[in-house]
Amino acid sequence: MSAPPYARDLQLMLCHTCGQVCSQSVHHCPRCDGAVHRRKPNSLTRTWAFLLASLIFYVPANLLPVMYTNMFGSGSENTILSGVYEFWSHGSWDIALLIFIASVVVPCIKFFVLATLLISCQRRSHWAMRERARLYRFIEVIGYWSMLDVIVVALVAALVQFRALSSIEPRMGILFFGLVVVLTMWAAMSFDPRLIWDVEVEDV
Amino acid sequence: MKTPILLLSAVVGLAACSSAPTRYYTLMSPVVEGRAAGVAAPGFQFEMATVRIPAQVDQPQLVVRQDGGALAILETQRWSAPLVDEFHDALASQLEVRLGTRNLEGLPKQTGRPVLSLQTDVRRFDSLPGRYALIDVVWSLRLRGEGAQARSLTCSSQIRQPAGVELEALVLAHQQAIGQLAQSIASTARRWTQVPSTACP
Amino acid sequence: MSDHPGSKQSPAPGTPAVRTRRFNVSLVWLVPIVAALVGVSMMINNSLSAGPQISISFLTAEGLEANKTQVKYKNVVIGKVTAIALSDDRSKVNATVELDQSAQPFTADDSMFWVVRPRIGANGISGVDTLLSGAFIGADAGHSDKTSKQFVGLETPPPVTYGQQGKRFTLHTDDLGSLDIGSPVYYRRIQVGQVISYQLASDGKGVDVRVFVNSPNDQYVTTDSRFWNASGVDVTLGANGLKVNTESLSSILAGGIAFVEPKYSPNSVPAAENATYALFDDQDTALAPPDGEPRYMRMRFDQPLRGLAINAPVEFLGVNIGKVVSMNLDFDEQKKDFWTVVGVVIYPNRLGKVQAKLIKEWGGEDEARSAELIAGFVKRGLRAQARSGNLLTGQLLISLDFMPNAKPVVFDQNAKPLEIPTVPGSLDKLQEQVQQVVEKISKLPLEAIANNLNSSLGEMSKTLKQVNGEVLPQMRDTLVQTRKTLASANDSFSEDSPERLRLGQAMDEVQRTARSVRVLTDFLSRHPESLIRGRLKDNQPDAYKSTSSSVREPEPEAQP
Repeated sequence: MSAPPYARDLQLMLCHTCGQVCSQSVHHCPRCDGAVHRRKPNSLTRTWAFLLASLIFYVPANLLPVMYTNMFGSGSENTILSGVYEFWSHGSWDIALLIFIASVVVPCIKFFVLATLLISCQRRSHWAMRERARLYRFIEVIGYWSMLDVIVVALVAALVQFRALSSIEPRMGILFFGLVVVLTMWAAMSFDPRLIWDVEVEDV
Repeated sequence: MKTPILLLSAVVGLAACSSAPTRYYTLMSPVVEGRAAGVAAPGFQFEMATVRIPAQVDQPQLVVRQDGGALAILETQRWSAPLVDEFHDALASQLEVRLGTRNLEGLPKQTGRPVLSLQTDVRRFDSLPGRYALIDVVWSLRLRGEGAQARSLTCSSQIRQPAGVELEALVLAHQQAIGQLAQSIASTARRWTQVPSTACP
Repeated sequence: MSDHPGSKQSPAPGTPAVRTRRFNVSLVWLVPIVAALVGVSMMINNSLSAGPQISISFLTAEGLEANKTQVKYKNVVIGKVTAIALSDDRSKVNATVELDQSAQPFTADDSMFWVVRPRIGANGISGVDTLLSGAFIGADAGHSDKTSKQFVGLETPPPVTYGQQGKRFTLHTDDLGSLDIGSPVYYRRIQVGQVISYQLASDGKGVDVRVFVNSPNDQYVTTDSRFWNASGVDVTLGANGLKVNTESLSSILAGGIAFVEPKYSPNSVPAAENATYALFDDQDTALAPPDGEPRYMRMRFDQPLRGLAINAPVEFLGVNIGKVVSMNLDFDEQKKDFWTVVGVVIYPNRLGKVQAKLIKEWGGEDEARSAELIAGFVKRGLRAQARSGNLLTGQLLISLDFMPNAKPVVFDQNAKPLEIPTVPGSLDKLQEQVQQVVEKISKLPLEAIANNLNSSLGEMSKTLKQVNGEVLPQMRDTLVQTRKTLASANDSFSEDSPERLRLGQAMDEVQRTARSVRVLTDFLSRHPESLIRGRLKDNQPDAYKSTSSSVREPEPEAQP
């Protein structure tokens, strides 16, 4: 029982959208007219670029306040971490935990995992390939859940508008945080996981 | 051709819409000639006060009992006046004859003579064709006026008169029953006005 | 690095898929470059727009919160407290404040900072909105050229901030009374300023009160303005009666000072800054023309002077020229009698023009001359008398008057103090009045009145006899008639009356109508087809046969 041949040997490619097997010479799928590549174009470069941009934006996202709460005239601005701390100290540990996971843990995991994937691919290492693939699928799944924090701020700011009694306004920090989430999602989209396995074939 | 048919159908329709003829009955027995004298005038004035009758028979139509709790309301056999007035007038005329004085209801009375008023409450007015006609009455006498302190006497009577199947027989039986009631009331009144401690018959 | 799909030449025409690697790379790397630029520019902007940082020390950090408490000037936020820490010796609290860039003037050396909390002060309640919004730090920019980074915060807001224009004056008074910092200063009942500070006079014999009067009202403080203490409610109960006077409600609570220039002040110019005035006790004292030299005199009364109080007025022909200053008892050994010696002080200046004339006539103002003057008056009959000033309270006053029939008295011109002879007081007057009343009564024609009364009484007895004889029986008859009428009215409402009959008949008709309507509806409900088909013939009813349990033959019942 021999393994099936590589598509590269058969001069074939798979269309991303409809899965049609195309010859390597075409650039558009004959069935669905989507762009066809053997590997995602410039995958590592793009992933690095997006990852670095999101890292840079993560700094102001955490330093700038995300929300300005005005209760009976006394207003205070909150960053992500100070908001988490406030929720925790007021007893809503579940909300605090949720926001902490969504806004701090998940982005950091994504940074770390993407960096690991990029570095290991570029160094053509054989280390833990299956696990790396699992990691990639994992960060694809949890990627958009970081937007939870942005949605929370947007909803809260829209609902709590009682003028003199209390009002909540979003601040610049949440904008940067949203950009961080978007950029990491693009980074994950740009990364082609098949590159993990290219190391098995020496001549690529 | 059309007009005769139209005329014919109109005539037939009108005939069909006609009502059945109605018969009317009364409780007042006819005036008996030659009965004027023979009853001494009492020392009081008489007036007939209200009469009440049970609601089932308080209809213009005759109501007779049938078997097993059923009542037949006969649409084409009617009282000539509302049964309350029939009963009231019949009883009043009978009492006038037996008491020897007229019913002065609604008329100014003489001062100086006591006034006897009669209030009647008919509890039952049953007509059973082929069996009997029955009245069950609670009546109350009240005497007031100068010289006498106002006093009253309440009694009851139940009078049953056998009757035939026809309605005329039933009505006749009711008339006789009213006559008997009048006799009982008149005799009690005469005695009671003289002797206050008279008991009911 | 990885694959270059674009470098493969495509054989199909019309699909230019040539993309150079350089083009791809540079385009995507724009994203992190832009991100870096944004971040750097934000950092630079932050550091550039940071204003000066100062440290203010307070006694307590009550109401202050790090990163939340703002510094406001005229309700505009000019900075924020970033950190609060205890000082090294734990006696003060240091608040680090970051000011805005526009707040540079607040770093001047003599700027003032204080915490605005809800306060109840002489001016009323201030800063209530800080109950909801939290305390904030109020600031006042100074004018000094030196800047400083350390400030000492005030514990109470300064009464006058630098921005306000006006003048400051010093008032001198015996005691502070009910004045306090912030007590209002009134001019014609309008508040134009406030007390800003007070301290004991340098010799300890009084209090110096500094007041501040706003511009443009400070121009009304002239060189001869009179200031008086207008605190509380002035209630005077004197021989003139009861007087209640107050400046305003807030002056009752917080004390106050009022000032006004006297009406006919000839040369009034606005006073200079820091001018000094005396603070009088009340308006009358303040506005009274100066009393001038007092003259002390004495009087002896041989009647009890209950109701004469110290400071009771002394009147000369109705003009108040002085007051009583002392009252003592004296024992006359010869007559074995007690006298009351009253000492009074007279201000001849109060006579005004009269005094000028008298001086001219007598040729001088010194004591000898004035003693001569008074001797002359005494010869003409000047006597002192204790009169009742207020019947309600029984207060007495001393009245100097010319009595026409006064007994001549020896007057010693050289006695010091001068002693004015006295005459007995108002009790005589009372006797005189009673005498007058008695005379009036005796003039009444009592006999005529008595005769009239007698004849009237006789007439009345005649009338009564007539009433008894005639009127009463008629009245009795009327009553009987009334009773009869009532009885007949009663009868008309009896059963036989025609009105009742008619009513009965009407009711009967109504009853019949209702009955026939009822009968009709009953019939229609039983035979609705009769509307179209008419009445149907009944069958002969069946004979009554059964004696089932549902029907029971009615037994002849016993009579009730």
